[in-house]
Amino acid sequence: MTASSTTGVAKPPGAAKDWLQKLGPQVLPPLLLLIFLLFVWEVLCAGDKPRLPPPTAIVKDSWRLISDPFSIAAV
Amino acid sequence: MNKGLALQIWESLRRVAIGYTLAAVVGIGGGIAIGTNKLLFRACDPFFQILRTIPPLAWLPIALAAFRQVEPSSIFVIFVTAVWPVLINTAVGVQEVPQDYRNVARVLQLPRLQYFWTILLPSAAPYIFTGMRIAVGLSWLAIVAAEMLTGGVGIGFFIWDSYNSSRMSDLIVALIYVGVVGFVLDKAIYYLGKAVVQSDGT
Amino acid sequence: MELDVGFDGKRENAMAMLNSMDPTLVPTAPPADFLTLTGLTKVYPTPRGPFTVLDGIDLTVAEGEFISIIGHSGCGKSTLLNMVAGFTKPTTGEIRVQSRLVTKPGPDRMVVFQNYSLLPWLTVYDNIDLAVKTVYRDLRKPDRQALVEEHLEMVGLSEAARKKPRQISGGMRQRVAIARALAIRPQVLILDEPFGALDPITREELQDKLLEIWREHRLTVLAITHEIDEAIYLSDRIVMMTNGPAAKIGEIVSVPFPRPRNRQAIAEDPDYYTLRNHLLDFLFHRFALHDED
Repeated sequence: MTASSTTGVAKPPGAAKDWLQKLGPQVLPPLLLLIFLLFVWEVLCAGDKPRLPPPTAIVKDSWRLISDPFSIAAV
Repeated sequence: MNKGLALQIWESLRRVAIGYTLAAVVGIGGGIAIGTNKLLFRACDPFFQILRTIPPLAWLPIALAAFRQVEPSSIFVIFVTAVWPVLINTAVGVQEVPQDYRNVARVLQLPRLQYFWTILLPSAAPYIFTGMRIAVGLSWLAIVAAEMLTGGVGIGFFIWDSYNSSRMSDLIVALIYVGVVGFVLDKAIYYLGKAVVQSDGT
Repeated sequence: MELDVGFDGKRENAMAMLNSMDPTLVPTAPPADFLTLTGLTKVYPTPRGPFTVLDGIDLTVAEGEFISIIGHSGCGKSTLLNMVAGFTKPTTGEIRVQSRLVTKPGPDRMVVFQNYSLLPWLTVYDNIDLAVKTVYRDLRKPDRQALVEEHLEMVGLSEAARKKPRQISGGMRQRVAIARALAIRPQVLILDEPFGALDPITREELQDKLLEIWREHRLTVLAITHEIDEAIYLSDRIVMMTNGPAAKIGEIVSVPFPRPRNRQAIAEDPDYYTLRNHLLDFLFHRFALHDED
């Protein structure tokens, strides 16, 4: 936001707030729920040898799949 | 596996019954919760919309990994297949309680619990049964497919086993059984819904 | 002295009303201003700026008065009724029943809805019973039953008690709705185009029935209608609304005919045509709809 204001294409000051007010009620609740669910998942699948990997492990183990859809899966 | 066809079907039906009942309880309960709470609905809806499109069998490996047993995994697949239609239809039914009925409740200052039993539930009942009917059909689809993969018992396994042993006549008989049972399940929920909703007069 | 029309006050008051309905008791003198609307406005915010539906409504209704509100559709008469019922809040101004400020819907201002709003899964009897047992929670079962049956009989529906709303005609449903409203002894009865969907014969029958009940129970009635003859036949006073947006009360006309009224006699009264023409002139000349100009 600071970048846009320095380059001179700054929207009216209320624009960001407007956007937040309009989309906030739509976007924020699922976002918060997502964070909550990821947290619960993380806690449930914590420990030494979990049956399912926690989110952090998924990101770490499968980063190649996530970052590059065209890569061949890790062996 | 020397069990009769009826026993194989019975095994499959038993799993469907458990998974489906769980799905109905969670679906109706959850549907009422998100149907009455706008914030909760907004938070959950995107997840439901994505999760419900995941094909039932795609859940099987993850269920097997988590439960490490065939029985609970099959039941989980049934549950996760059947829960979405019940959940979403119930939520819609609750949201669609006509304004007229709400106004009656408001002007009489009907207590919450009484509103739930005398207005909300009867009004949403047709939607709930629509969801339950879709769900029972999907459950039956899912169990047959799941049992083909997991093996052991059940009508799905019987079909796959018949194919592997080149018993094509058995296979065809089993398919007819599956179709008839599916039909009966669908009609059973239909008439159950009709009985409940009609005794309510809607 | 300001009392919310909340739950505790309501029941006490309703029970008092119940007692006062006992024919052996002498009615107390009605206060002059029973229902007062002061400086009511309703403004809805829209993307294109505020939209004024009602602009300054002042009206005082005496206890036991029968008031009709007429006006073209879109003149905000439904909004006005909804505010009295408590379904919508006025933007400015206030509504009081006796001295109590109206803040939310309550059974002291029972509504007979335009489309009856009976619960289709309950029988006729249970629809009325639901209202009675919700409002009079302490009423013992036999008393409750007597109350419901009394009102079913009043509207001539004792035989249909066990039927579902879907199994009876529109006129019968409307009578159930009226019985339900009366069974809880409201202080103000609000009627939203009560006979709009009925055929002319049923309509006349129900108008007579309503007047009979109104006279017996000395109700205060606020009714919306778009039928001029209906308004004249039923009301003590007719409130005419100007066209919206920003509708106001254009004029209030008293109806001079003595009660009990007789359709025939009214129709032959020369005053009837003067009054009728006056109302017609208001609606179709002074405040005609723009697209009819």
